[in-house]
Amino acid sequence: MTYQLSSTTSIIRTADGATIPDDPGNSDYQAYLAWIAGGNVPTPVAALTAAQQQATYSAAGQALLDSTAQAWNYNDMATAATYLQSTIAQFKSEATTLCAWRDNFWYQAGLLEAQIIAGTATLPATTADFLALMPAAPVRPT
Amino acid sequence: MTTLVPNAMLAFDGGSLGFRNRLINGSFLIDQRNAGASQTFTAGAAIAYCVDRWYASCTGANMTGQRVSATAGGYMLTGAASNTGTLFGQRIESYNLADQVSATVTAQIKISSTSITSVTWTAYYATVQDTFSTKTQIATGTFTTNSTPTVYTASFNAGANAANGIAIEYTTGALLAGQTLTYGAAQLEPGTVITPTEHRDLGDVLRQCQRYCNVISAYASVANGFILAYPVTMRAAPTATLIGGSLASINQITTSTQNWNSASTGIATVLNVAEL
Repeated sequence: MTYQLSSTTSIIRTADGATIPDDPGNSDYQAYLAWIAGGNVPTPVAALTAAQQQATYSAAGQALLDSTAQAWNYNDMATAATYLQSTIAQFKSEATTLCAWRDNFWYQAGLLEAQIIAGTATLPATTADFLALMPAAPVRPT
Repeated sequence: MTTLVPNAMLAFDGGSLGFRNRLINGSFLIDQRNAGASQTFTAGAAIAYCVDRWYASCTGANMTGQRVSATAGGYMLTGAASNTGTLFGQRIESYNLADQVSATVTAQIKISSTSITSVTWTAYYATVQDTFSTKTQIATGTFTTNSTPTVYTASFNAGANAANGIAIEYTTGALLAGQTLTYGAAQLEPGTVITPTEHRDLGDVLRQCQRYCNVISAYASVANGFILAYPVTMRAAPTATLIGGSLASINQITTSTQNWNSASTGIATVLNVAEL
C-alpha cells in the first residue's frame, strides 16, 4: 500500500485513488498513520496539469485585482469599475486607474497564453512567476 | 445454557423483542458495494468489506464471495486450490454495545458448507474505542458444521471492554476449488435466550448501513464545484472513492457532506466508506 499527499489535508491511496480525510476516526486514515509510523514516506503532491495551472493562475490574477481594489476601499474590482462615471473626482480617478490596469493585465495574460499555444513561450512554473510577468499594480491616485 | 423462546411467547410479547440484533445487515441483504456481484478476496491481504458491514479475508489462495440472494440474503464464499483458510466477520460500533459491558450476549449464525466441518467463532474487543487495528480476544469456540444449513449459537460474557466495540469473526481451514461455505441469519443479542432472527424493514437496514458505507451520485458539469450530502450522517469522515464518471477532486470531506470538483460533464458516483 502506498499513499500520495494532496493539495488539501486529505491523503490519496494510490491503489484505488481513494481520498482519505484526516479524521482520526477513519480506519483508512489510521492505517495511513500506521504506515507513516513504519517509516514510510508518501509521494509528494501531484503536479498540476497545464489546464489546472492555467486555472490556478487565472484565479490568482483575479484575486490580485480584487485585493488591490479592496485595499483602495472597494468591495472588489467589479465594484470599483462601477465608479467610472462617478461624479466624485477621486472615485472616478481611482476607477479609471484600476480598470486600465485590469484591462492591461488580462490583455497581457491573453498574449502570454497565445505565445504558449504558439510555442514561443513556456507556461510559468509558479503563480509568482506568472504574476511577475503581468503589469504591476498601479499607485493609488491622490 | 441457552433456551429457545417458544413462538407463542414471541407472538404474545413481540413488542419487547424488537431491535435486539446488535449486528447490522444480519441477513446480508444489503450489498451496496457489489449489488450482488462476486467479489475476490486476495490471499494474505487485510480484511475487505463485502456485503454491508461484513468483511472477509483468506490465506493461501484467493477466494470469492457473493450474496446468495437479493430476496433471501445469505453470503457464500467459494474456495480455490491452495486456499488455506477463510475469515468472515463484523465489527460492532462501541455505541451499539455500551449497555452490554460485562453482560452475557448470544451470537447465532446459520452455516452450511460443501466441505467445511469445523467453524471457529471468536469474539474480540477493540483495544481502543472503535479502533480494531489492535484487538483482544474475549471468547472463542467451535461449531461442527455440515452441508445442511443449520443455526449455531454461542453465548459469552461481553467483558469489561465491550463499550470499545466488539468483533465477531468466523474462521475456517482450507476452502478448496469448487467448495463453498455459506453464512446466513446472523444475530448477536443481549442475554442467553436465543430468539428467532430479527426481521427488519429493508429500508431501515439500509439506513443503518449507510452510517458506515453509502454511494452517492450526481450530475457534474465542467469546471464546477458543489457540495453533496450523504443519506445519513456517517460514523466518521469517510474515505471517498470515485467508482463512476469523472471528478477532478473530492475535498472537504466531513461526516455529513463532501465537496466535488468536476472534471467533465456527466454522472459521477462516489463510494463513501467509514467502516470500523
